[in-house]
Amino acid sequence: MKLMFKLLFIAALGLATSVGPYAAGNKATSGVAPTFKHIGKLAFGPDGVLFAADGQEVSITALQLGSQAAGKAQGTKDVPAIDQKIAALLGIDAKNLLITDMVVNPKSRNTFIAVMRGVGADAKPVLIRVDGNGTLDVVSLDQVKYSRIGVPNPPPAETPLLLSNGRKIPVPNYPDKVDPKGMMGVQTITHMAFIDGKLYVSGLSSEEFASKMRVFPYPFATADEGTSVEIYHGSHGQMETFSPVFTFVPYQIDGEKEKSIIASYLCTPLVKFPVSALKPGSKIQGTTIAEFGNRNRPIDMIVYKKDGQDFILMSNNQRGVMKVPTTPFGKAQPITKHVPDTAGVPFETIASMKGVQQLDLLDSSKAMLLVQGTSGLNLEAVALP
Amino acid sequence: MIVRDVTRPESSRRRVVSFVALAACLVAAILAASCGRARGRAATPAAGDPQIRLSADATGAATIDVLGLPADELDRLERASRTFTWEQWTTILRVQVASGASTPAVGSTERPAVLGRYAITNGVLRFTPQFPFEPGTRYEVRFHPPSPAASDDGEGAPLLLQTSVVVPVPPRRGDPTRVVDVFPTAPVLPENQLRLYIAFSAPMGLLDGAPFIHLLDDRGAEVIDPFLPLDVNLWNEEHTRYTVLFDPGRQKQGILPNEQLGRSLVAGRTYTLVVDAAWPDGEGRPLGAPFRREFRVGPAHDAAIDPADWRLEPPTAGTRDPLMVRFPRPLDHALLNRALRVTGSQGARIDGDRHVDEAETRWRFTPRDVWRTGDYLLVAAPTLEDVAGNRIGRPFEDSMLHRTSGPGALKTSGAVLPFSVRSRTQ
Repeated sequence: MKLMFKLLFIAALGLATSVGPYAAGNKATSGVAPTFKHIGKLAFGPDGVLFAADGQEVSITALQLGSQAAGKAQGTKDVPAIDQKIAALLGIDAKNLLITDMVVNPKSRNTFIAVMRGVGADAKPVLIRVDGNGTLDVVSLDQVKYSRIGVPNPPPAETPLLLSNGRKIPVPNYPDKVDPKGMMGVQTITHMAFIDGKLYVSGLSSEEFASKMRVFPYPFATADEGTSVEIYHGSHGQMETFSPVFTFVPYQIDGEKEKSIIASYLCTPLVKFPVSALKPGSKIQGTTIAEFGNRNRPIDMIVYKKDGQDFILMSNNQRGVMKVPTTPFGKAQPITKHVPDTAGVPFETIASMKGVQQLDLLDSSKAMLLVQGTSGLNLEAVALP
Repeated sequence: MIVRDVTRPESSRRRVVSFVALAACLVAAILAASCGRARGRAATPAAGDPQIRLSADATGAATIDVLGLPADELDRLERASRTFTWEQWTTILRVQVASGASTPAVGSTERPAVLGRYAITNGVLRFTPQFPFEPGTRYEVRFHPPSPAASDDGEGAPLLLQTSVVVPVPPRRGDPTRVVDVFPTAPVLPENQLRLYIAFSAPMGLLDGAPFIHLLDDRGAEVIDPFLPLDVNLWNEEHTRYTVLFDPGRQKQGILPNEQLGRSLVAGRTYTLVVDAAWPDGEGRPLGAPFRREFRVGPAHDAAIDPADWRLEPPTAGTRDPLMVRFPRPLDHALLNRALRVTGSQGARIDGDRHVDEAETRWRFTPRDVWRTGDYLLVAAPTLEDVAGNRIGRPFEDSMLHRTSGPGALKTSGAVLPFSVRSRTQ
């Protein structure tokens, strides 16, 4: 038999090109005493709500911590070798403890640390609270109310496909058996931040070299489509669409009408884009205002004020902790050409902050750090530089 | 950090049993032998003497039990315990992870007691850990109840029992976990290869995979920094497939890491991917064997995927023969499994099984039901990529050279390829 086929048309499937799964039918669930398969990124929202990402179910849970939001003492006392102490409390060897994130409750100033107890298939997610006495407590979720939403969300059952003759036909999205997690494949959530009533989430796919940001209005109802943020990556000298976002903060740049998101990507470009541009289904182009160096992954970013001036403090896996004054952000020239290594708004590497694995703002004058010491991880507050 | 210090009584005022008898404490399965003795008696535990024992509750979970306590002591404990906090309990029966190589910075007095519940039932003081004891980890156990005033002859002196216990590591179930394959399977990879997938026979653990993966050149030297320094592990949901990303900054031409370091792979050379056996699986055990895969490197694949080059071999009506689709160059294994589908001519889904073989250049679709005579569509999603990240209508190299929106934008697109199924006589 003569094998023949004719390629009739190649149709743009606009939905799937750069836009994440549509949230049709994906409703939030709620209840009391949530359970997790995995606990990863954390972010505090309004009224003591703690958002916690489950990296295995790929969901986000909003925890109304209630009485669990604070220990006996306000603040956080330094805890040397905290990894070994958490491991001891949980009854395991410290080498079998994974710390996945650390955030400070902006009200109680207690520090919350997400850990996995164990490194095997039976590893258990645990949330630890450290208070002003340095007391370590396992946060009990037994009485905690929660709501949860899946990420990524299942795509709609069908996508209208535009044929060359103008006709549309419904084409089912991915085979049920093969693609339980939707178009993006299994995702890793890289960062979350709550901004003006919405949770912003960046993610990374295990199959496609793609980066997505998603927006979830809170209280959770249904999820949004993802938004791609296109940046010009100066050190790469090319337009970068897919580079993964690893950390971001909301910030009102002086002289600009709208609040911005300041984001940092793999290989450390610093990019700004207006929060309002992140609309369902949109694809926006951010403005690269700095390049902080290749072969580097940003970890955490905080905004603080010192001596009347705003700064961003950013930790990195290869290039230390950087202090970036925000005053030049408004008038910064976009980087649109190849740069040799670093360029754009000025920054200073803080020599005294080495081995920083987690970073958050403790209060108006101190940062809370999780620092790799000579014999373990130390939880320590340091003066903002 | 608040950890209550358990101060030992003066040695002259106590009669202490303190022996770390790991072997004696272990009994097969989960239970350990009892350790300890009553005040001022023989060194060998005797029936009826207070003893610490690794035991098990009704669910089979390991517990620490204190047995053989005198009735008056139990009474005192029971009365006092009504108002005890967990911290107060830990001063009486303290279960601690033993010091070891992983706890160099924390002395025993700073090391928190293991979290758990205390209860007195049927004459036994029982500690049930909040999380199951970790097999193979040693726990120090110290029972030191509050004592009544001691008399000169030693009666009523503080009781102190100390021992250590280990829950045995259960025997491995089944064969050791191993690497079953690495994708792509082709013997020659393009020098701008973007991803590798390492597939395992069983779920792997949570540890970072990067230290266990090496790329050796044809002289056996390790290639420096060939992969993306993500510090983020990309697994499938079952934790049986690990994604390795070559550093795209090196793989793409003309950008800084590429100019400084060159591509991770160089055409014309041979490389070996090595996966260390030390990589712990989901049960914390090493792989059954290290894995090595040698491959040669050929020229880069720089062009977008063009579905017009695909060859479809339609099946015959009335059979469940597979639809065969052949590609002129390998496509990404993972994406082939979810970015291609078969539908009826109006888009209705056709259920069936997909299979990728011939070094990711062939895709076979076997329908659940027999093919009916008629027209069908092979639908490719825009997310489909080849092994170098090229998509339909959009090369990976160009993806960073052009805007993806606005005038002149290159658009990634899906593709729809119609095919017909006919009977043998047609």
